[in-house]
Amino acid sequence: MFESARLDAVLRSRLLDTPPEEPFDRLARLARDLTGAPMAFVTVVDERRSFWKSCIGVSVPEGELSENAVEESFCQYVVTSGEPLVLADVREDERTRDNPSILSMGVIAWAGYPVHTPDGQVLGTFCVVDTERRDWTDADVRALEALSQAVSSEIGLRMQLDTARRDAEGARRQIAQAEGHAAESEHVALVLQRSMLSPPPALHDDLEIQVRYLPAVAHAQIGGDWYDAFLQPDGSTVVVVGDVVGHDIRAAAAMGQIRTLVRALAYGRPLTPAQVLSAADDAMDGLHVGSMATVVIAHVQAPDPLDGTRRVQWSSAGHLPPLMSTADGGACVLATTPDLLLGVRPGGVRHDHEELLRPGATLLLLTDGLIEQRDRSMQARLDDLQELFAGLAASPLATMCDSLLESCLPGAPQDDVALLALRVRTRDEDG
Amino acid sequence: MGDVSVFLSEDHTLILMTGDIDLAVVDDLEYAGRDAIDAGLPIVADVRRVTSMDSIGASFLVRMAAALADRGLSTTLLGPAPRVRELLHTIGAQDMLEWRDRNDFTAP
Repeated sequence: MFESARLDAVLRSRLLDTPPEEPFDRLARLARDLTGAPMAFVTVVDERRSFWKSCIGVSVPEGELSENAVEESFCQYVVTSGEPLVLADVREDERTRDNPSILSMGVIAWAGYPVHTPDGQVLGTFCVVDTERRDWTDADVRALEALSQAVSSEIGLRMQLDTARRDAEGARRQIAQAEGHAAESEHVALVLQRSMLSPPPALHDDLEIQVRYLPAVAHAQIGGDWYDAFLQPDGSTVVVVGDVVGHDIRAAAAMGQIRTLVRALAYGRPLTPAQVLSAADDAMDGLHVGSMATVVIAHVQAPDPLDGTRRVQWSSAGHLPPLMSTADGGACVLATTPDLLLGVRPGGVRHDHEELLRPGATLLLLTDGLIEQRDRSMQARLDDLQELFAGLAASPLATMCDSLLESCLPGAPQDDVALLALRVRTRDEDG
Repeated sequence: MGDVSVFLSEDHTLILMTGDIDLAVVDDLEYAGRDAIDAGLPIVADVRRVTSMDSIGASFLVRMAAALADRGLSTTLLGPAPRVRELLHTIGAQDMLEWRDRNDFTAP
């Protein structure tokens, strides 16, 4: 009775001092009906009492407990031995003849089986009781054995359910905590990144700019792609799109450094785009930035006073070439052989290319996330994009960007996407 | 699923790349690169059975080629592998790597 493992199991069963429950009452009633005995019990025994989880055929007076002291119970014998006890007349057995229940409750015949937990601890008994001598038949005993096993199963299932619920609750709490932390770090990283990818500044009246940035689904809001646009003191405009190799938070951190290096090296200095990229490459090497990045940078010069065309000079470090569309609905990929991406080997040769942007023309800089498709060649994908772009040449710039995204990325993007569209307004827009 | 394996021989190190070479094999790429560089021999990278490669895979090849070139060693790509070729061209690395096309799959 006092064995601590058993008592521990009794507590874990969470049956003590609980109200009667139908599944146990039903089994007790069945035992009563099958044996014909007037009383049936399901008991749980701790160190001082036998608590009656079910008591059929006994009416417990108001204010009294449905239990009896362990010394007065017959359960004690079953619990101690772990064996069933079947007595036709308890007065005849030397173990039980002096039990107070004989007088206090009128117990004469008693038959009970142990009820136990899945791991074998005896919790109490399943028993039937009569107030007169009863010669329990084999059938009675077999029925009692079977029903007691059903009670044990029921208890076992409940305890497992309890454990499962507690585990689930514990797991839920841990998940909530982890989610909280993750959400916080994500939030911090997002704030830092968004502070870098600010909306583009106002440019000259005749230039319109639209940018789009979509972080990849899998990267949880943080990416290695970026865009940049700023005015030079000499009145020209610089636009940049870049893509750091890698998708983790280090890539995002490197992105910040590289973006800043490029703009700092470009601003207010008479360097061509290729020269800016070479300088950035040298700086990345000397400053041990440690990441690689593809970048395309374009300098858009002041407009020609006569016809409003703007000369564009650009250079690519391992990045997709820009596309250009014209007001009449034409489009082309400004295809040239790219120079080496940044961060591998500084000092390589870099090339500047030139193009002319007429009023109504749009220059499109993008990262490969926009046209990412496993099974098609880069060339095929660029051809498709060119066609799409041509069809949108006359659309308002914001519509063009949104349509490009919608058409190219029907689902969520697998890789980060950065898009920058620069349009020279037509003469009548510009007024 | 992709795979990156390194085979050391007397006069060169073979890196065999198969399947999808992307973020999932980035650690394998790092180990392979280090092993190959430590071996101190020219590298042959067999990319004929690469089904897809992203910028991570391509930049690995480029970085490895640069590291070896600094040590006076060559990096050769074993093809044909049109997608890999195109990707390396896109990142401007076409001059950093030599290609050798070989259609039988016995050891090079």
